[in-house]
Amino acid sequence: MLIYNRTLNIKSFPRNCEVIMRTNTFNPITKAFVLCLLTASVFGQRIDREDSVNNDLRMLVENASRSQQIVWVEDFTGLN
Amino acid sequence: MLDEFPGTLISTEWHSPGYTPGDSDFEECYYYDNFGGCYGARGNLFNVGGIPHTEWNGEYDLTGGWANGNWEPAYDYFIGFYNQLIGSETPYDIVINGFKDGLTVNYDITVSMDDDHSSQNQKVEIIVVEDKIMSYWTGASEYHNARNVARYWISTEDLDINSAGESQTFSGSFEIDEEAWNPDSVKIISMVQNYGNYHVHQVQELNVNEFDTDQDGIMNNEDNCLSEYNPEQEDIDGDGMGDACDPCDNANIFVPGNVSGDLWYYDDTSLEPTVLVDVFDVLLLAEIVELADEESCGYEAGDMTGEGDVNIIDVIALASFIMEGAF
Repeated sequence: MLIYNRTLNIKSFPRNCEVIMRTNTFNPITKAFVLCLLTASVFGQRIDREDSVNNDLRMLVENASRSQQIVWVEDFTGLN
Repeated sequence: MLDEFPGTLISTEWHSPGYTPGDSDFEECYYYDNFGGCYGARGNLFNVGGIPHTEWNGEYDLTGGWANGNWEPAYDYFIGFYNQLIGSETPYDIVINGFKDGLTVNYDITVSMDDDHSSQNQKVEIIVVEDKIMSYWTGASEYHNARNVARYWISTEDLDINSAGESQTFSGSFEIDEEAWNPDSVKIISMVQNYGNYHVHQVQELNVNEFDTDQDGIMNNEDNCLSEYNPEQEDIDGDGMGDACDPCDNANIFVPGNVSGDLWYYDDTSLEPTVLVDVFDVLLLAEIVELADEESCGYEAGDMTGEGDVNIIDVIALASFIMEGAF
């Protein structure tokens, strides 16, 4: 009897309460979407950091391997 | 100084025809496609008047010498020029490569950039020199070893690249004048030079007998795989193409008849596979004949008549051999 009463009470909730209950129980698509958002935000930060490290490394390597000038001496001469 | 700074100091001698006996081994070099004119053309770039005149990357120069070939006092000047220039960063790197076939030299000169730089007035010079010509110097009353004497100023090319990561290759060929030059001492010298101020931005040299694309110690004209590092030169089927670059093992797999290259084992205890020749080889050979696919491994394996050419007769011959149980 008590249960019956509670059920009746739930059913008699205003319309907006039902909406709130539905949004608290995410459907699979919403779950996937939220998961994607979380993943993107977490790993997105990590990728940015790796990019920064890669850029530093690239600059280091480029500077280290930069071509060095070789000297060319031209001798204008004769044989007498 | 050349012996003191190998790899970082490269020289070229331009001999004045007016001060060089005609019967010496220093006759004028070929300027582009004409005989003679190198000295004048090159000297005009730097307003060379009196000789000896040395030009250092087109930035520093010294005119005049010391009596009786006594060059020691000039060393202090030269080392100063060298130290001013060496080690400076340049956006250019030059790699000389090629292939020498008898007296014909085919070259590829690749200029690459690791930094941005304007291409305005930038040129690439390609010069052939002969190194170490022992000759008698009357003025000094002694023999001397002339280094990198200009023999052939091949061309002056426009350099079009201007950004880091870009490269440009200049290809061509020339003949070694065996009568006048020592083939063992012929080098290619190439440099990037600005034709606005005539400064030299980079230079490189290579003896034409040292072309080695894959850096495996085997010169290109003797290497059985030009682009693959294979110092041992393994060639299991002895066809002249090294295993490192030969997709077809004609000794063990693509033997006559096995056009498809199929192998099989008699049973689970077999250690070595044997070739499998069947009707599929006939069909594949027919397709090779139809497409004239001379590059496939099956082409050589399908030459059943051994005449060096693959045609319909080979297809019939292969079918006959299979039907007769020859395999």
